[in-house]
Amino acid sequence: MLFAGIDIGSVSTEMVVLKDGLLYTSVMQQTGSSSKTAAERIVETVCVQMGLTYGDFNFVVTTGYGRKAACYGQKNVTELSCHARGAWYLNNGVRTVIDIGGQDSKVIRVGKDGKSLDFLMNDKCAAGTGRFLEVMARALEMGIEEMGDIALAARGSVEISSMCTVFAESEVVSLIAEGHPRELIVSGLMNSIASRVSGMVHRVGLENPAMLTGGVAKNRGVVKALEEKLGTELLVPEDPQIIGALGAALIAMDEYSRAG
Amino acid sequence: MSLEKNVQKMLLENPDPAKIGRGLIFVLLKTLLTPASFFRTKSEKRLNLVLYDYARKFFRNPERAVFTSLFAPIELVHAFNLLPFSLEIFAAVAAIMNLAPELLARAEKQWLSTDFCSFHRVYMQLATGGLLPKPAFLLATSHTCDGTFKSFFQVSDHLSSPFVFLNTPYHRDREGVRYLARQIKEAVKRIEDITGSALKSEDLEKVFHFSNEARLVFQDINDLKGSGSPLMYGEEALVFILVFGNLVGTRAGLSLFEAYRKELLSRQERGFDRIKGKKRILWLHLKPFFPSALMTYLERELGAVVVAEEINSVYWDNLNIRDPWVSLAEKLLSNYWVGGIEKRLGYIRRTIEEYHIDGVIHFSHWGCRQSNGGVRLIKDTVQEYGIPFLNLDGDCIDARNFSEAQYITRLEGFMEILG
Repeated sequence: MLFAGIDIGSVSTEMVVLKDGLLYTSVMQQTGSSSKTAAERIVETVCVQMGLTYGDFNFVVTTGYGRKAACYGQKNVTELSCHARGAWYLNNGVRTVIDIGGQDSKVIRVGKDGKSLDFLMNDKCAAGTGRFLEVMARALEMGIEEMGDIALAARGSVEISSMCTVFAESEVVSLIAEGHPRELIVSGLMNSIASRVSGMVHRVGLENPAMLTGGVAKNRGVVKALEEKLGTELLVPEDPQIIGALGAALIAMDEYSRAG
Repeated sequence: MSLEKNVQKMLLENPDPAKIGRGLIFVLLKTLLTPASFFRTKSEKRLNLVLYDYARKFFRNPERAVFTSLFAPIELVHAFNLLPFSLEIFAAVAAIMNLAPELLARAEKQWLSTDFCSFHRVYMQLATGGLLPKPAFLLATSHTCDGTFKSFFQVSDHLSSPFVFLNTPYHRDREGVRYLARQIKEAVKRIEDITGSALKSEDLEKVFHFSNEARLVFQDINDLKGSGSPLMYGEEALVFILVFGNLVGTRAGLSLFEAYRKELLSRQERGFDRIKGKKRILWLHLKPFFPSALMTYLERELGAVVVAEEINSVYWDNLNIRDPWVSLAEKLLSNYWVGGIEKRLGYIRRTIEEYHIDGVIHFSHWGCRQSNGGVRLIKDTVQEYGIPFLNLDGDCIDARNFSEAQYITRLEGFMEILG
């Protein structure tokens, strides 16, 4: 039995395939300008890699920003339910999921059965998202992953007061011009994201254990800053970007079983 | 260019109050001729006609026109045989007609802060930009929002029209009621001076009668909608405020609500089952008025039906003609958005229990601090019942920051929690 979940985000698209209930393969690609094309491309990639045809899948669920644009999938489910389900699959004890994606960040309270109980999404603003980090990395002329390592090594930080991505970018440029060490600026940026996201976590209500998912979870500087703000250790899965697609594949399996 | 664009162009480029009347015909036709109208109540079409007829009178008789704030005691205005029209409702109509983006842009050019409520920014442009007739006077209360006084004052100053203002106290205690009742009595004298006609007690009695009857009928409508199988869509019911804000205290307003009640009773008797939504939603505060499929999507696609709307709640007691000013003061001070949040939480609890609510949605309009300020407490109250709560931050009038996909994700996520 083959089940697939496709998470079409604003920045990247992931596909996870489950075979007989276990993770079979996962692929990640850039979304580009078209969600529909991104879905077609990733399905083609997976099928070629694994020697499958689309007809081999028993049930497919799409999720993410482009979930409705994809021509694939018998069902589309929000990324909120998918992240909850994916995180819970990896650790049944998880009660809070913090997903920091390219375009938005969300906090989900997870029930004992892996279903979403409550959630909060950031509002009309790139602060506290992957896009924020991307813009700042460009201003600092460094890679996003490099930023994480630099932040970890920093002793102290410079405060970034602007929440707005555009204003924060100007602030960073000014700080560079004023001669502030880059590592302190990077550390300040991590704290800025952590402040924004931790506020959302507290609004939903932090219940441990909490898992951090989404591409930004790969940035160790953000993880550390967020752990310090929340005063708790965060679970970070090996492949944090695929949790939405994993959840979608698990929901596909559930749906198939339910349909008998 | 579409018909809609033509109408917008005509209204904005050649400001003329009479043309707004024609614009209203366009809104009316648009509402009557949508495919969805087949599933709507006949009363909704009647509501559009009644509103249109009223608006036409308002535009044709500027000497009788009065700009009012949404919760002002319009019974007083009707008792003088004048025509109150809430400026907030005009702002909503401008949003429905898709005129708001241009009016908001004009407001910005005139140094109105974008942090000022979009309802106020839009109606100020309508009133001062020659799109509405010059009224006989303006009547506003300080509840439920502080910006009302400031914006009405500016409109009154610009048009050189008298401004009658009631300062609503925070508490509904004896002192508060007396303070407000005294102001209402003085306001009557002021209106008598402005209009040159004395208030006749038999006219006030007639208006109180219509208002009290409408109140009873409206409570019946709420009960018909809230208990049992859904008889109408909440999206449709959320426009009742357009009637309550202008026509309460009139025969036309009462007849309209009687028609709704009759139609809902008939639907109940026939075992009406065309509304498929199963999850019963309580909708708090307002909704976006600009063209958006959000509510339609919630009620037609996602399996929810809004069975109760806070804005339609009957929060006041019958008006008493033997003590009219105190009675009106008590009505104003009974509003759930005046004073502390306890009254509002009480309403939410009662509604959840009586109407078997499955989930609660609060639409936080950008400017309405009196409502948004209580969201945390509302959420805690709703969750005492073990049911989910969704807060949607947004703007009822300004569509420029509105991303439908983002809202749809939230609504879908909410419905997935409801199961």
